Amino acid sequence: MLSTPSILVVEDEPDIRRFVETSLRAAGYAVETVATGGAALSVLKSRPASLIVLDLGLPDIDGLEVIRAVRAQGQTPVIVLSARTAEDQKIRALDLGADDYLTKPFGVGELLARIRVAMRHAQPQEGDADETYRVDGLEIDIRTRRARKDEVEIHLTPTEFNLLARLARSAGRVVTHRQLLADVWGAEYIEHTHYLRIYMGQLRAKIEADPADPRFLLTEPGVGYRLVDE
Amino acid sequence: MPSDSPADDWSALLARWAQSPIGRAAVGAALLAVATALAWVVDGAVSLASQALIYLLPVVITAVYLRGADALITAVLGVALLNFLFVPPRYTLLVEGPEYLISLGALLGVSLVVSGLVTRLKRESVAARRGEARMAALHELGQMLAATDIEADIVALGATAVASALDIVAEIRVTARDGKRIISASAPQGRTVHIDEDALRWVMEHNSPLGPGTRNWPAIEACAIPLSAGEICIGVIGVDLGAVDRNWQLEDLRHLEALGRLIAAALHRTRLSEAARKAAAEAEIEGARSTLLASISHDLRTPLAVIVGSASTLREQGAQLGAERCVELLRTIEAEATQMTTTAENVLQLARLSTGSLALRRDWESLEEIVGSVISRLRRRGETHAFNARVPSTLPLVRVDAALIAQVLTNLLENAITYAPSGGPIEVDVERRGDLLEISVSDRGSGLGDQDPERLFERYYRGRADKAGEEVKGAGLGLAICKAIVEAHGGAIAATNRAGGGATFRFTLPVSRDAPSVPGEPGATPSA
Repeated sequence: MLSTPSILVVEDEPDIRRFVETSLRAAGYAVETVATGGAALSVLKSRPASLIVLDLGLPDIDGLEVIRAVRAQGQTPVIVLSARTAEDQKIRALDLGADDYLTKPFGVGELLARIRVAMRHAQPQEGDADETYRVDGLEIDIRTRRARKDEVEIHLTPTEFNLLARLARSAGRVVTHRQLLADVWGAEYIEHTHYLRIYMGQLRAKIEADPADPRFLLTEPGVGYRLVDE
Repeated sequence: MPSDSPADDWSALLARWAQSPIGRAAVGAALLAVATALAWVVDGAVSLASQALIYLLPVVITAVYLRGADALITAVLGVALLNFLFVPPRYTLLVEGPEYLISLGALLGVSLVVSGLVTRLKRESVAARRGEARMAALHELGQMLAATDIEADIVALGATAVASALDIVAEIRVTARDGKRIISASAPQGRTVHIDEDALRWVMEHNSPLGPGTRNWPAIEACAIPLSAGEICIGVIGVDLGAVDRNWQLEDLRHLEALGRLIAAALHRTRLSEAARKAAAEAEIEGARSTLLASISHDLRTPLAVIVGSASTLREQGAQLGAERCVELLRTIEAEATQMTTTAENVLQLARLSTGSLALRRDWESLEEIVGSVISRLRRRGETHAFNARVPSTLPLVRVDAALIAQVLTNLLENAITYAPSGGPIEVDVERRGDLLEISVSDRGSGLGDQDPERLFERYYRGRADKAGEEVKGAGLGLAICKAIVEAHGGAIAATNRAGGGATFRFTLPVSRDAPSVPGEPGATPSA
C-alpha cells in the first residue's frame, strides 16, 4: 500500500510557511507546518515525516539541534533553508547530515526538485540501481569501477574514480568538501581542500565538454560539489 | 686629505693641551719669556715706557686665547718682571722715584683694563655664536618636525635635538592620543636618563617646569618642562643635570623651553590634523550614506511599484485577462523581485565591506570552478544570454575568497547583460600574466562612450545608458563592490572600450609562489 509522503515544514516566517505549504500540497504531498524547533521535535515524536524542510534561523532552538535530533532517530531526509549570509551554518548543517540546502529566496521549482532527489535517495533501491549512474551519456558503474562517456571508456586514476563514485552515490545532492575529503582521502585530510580543486579539475577535463561551463560536475562555491542527476 | 690628518690631529692635541692648567701656565710663561727677551734686546736703546708696552703684549694674547684669570696673572707677573729687571734700582723690587712708580702703575692699570675688555668681548662673542647655533638648531628642528605627522617620530626627533643643542642627556615622554599609551624617546642613544619619576609626574600634573632656574624643586639634579597643547599637558621633556659637568644656566633653560614649544606645537598640529581628517572622513561617510539611501530607495521603489501594480491587476482583473497575459504579469513580478534581491544583497555586501567587518575566507581556489559556478547559477536563474568562457586548464590555484570572487564575476556578467541585452555572447577569459591571473568580461554593448572609466567604480555612479537610452536598473553599487573585493585581494580592476564595439572589464588576482600541489598517482582504472 502506497501512502502519500508527508512533509514537515519548520519555518518561523508565516508567509514563507504558507507559500511552501501551498506549493507542496499542490504537488501532492501531505504537509504539516510548525513555527519552532521545539514544536518540530514534539510533532516528530508522535508522527514521523517522510521528509523535513527546515529553516535554520529559528526563534527557539538552533536548527542544527533539530538536525542532530533527527539524525539520532534515523535517516529521514532534511532539506535546510538558509539566508545568503549564513554560509557557515549551511555547511555545518550539511556536515551534520542534512541532505541538501536552498538559499532564500528560492523558487518552487528548485524546492520540488531537491525534495524529489532527497526522497529518491531515501527509498531502498532495487538491485544495482544504487551502484550505477546514467545521465545524458555519462555512465558510472561503481561495482566494476568503470566510467563511460558517450559509449567511450574514460580512463581515471583510482582517486579520480573514488571521488566520482562518491559524488555518484549522492547524485543530485550537494556533497561538502569535508565529506568528500573524509570519504575519499580519509579523516586526516579534511583541511586539504586543494586536493579537491585539483582532482575535480582533472575530472572535469576528462568528463566535461567545456570544463569552464560544466554539464555534470557542478561547483557550489564555498560549500561543495554536486553531480547532476537529470 | 689623508696627509693632512696627522698634522690636524697634532695641532688639535696641542690646542687641547694649551687649554689645560699646565698648558696655560706654560703658554703664559713662554709669552713672558719672549717679552722679557725683547725688552732685554732693546734695553738702553728705548725708554722704560716702551719696554712696558712690550709687556702689554702677553697680557692681550692670554686674554684673547686663554682665560680672563690667566691674563690677570700674566699682567701682575709682567709688572713684577719689568720692575725687577729694568726699573732702577735693577734686580730688586724696589722703585726709585715716583716717575717709575707711575709707569708701573699705568702698565698694571692698562693690562687689567685690556684683559677685562678682551675677556668680556670674548664672552659676548661666544654667547652670540652659541645663540646663533641655537637659533639654527631651532630652525632645523622646526623644519624636520614639519616633515612628519607621526608622533613617535616627533618625539624621537625632539629628544635628539634637545640632547645635541644642550649637549645633555634628555628624555621626552608624551601621552598618546588614546590617553593611555606613553610614547617616549631619549638621546643620545645608549645613555640612560636618571630623572626622578615623581618629578616627571609632577610636571605632567601641574603643567609647569621644575629644576634649577625655575621656582619648583630648584635643588633637583634635573630639569623638566611640560609640553603643552593649549591648557593641557600632553608630555614632558626632562634633562639629566647629574650626568653633565657644566653649569645649567638660565639661557639653557630658555633654550630648552624654546625647543619644547616647537615640539609641543608639532604634536598639537598632528593631533589637530588627525581630528580634521576624522571629521572629513565622517562627513564623507555621512554624504555617502545619504546618497546610498536615495539610491536604494529609488532602486527598491521602482520594482515595488511594478510588483504591487501587477499583483493588484491580477487579483482584480485576473478573470478578465487571458491566461497568457496573467503569466506575463507573473513573470514581471518574479523578475522585479529577483532584481530587488540583488540590490539588497549588494547593499548588505557593501556595508560589510566598508565597515571592514568582512573577513576574507581564503582558500586555494580554481578559477575554472568559480567561472563555471557563476555561469550555471545565472542559467538556473533563467538567464538566457549566451556565455563563452575560456579558462585554460593549466592555471595555478589562487588563494582567494571564492564566494566574493564569484560575486565580482556575477556583478560583471550582470552588468554586461544589462548593457548588451542582445549583442552576441558575453566572453569570459582567464589568463596568466606573470604573477597575476587576469580575468576579463567582454560584451558587444554600447561601450563606455566618453565617460571616465575610473568613475564607473565609484559608489552610486550610474554609468552608461542602455541601448534604448532608458534609465538602467541597479543601485550603481555592483562595480563599487567589485572594486572593493578585488582590492581586498590585492588585485586591481579597470574598464576599457573594446575594439570593434562594446566594453571589457578586467580584474587581476595575485598568484602566490607556494601554490600547493598533490602527490602524483600512478595508473588509471583497468581498461580491460
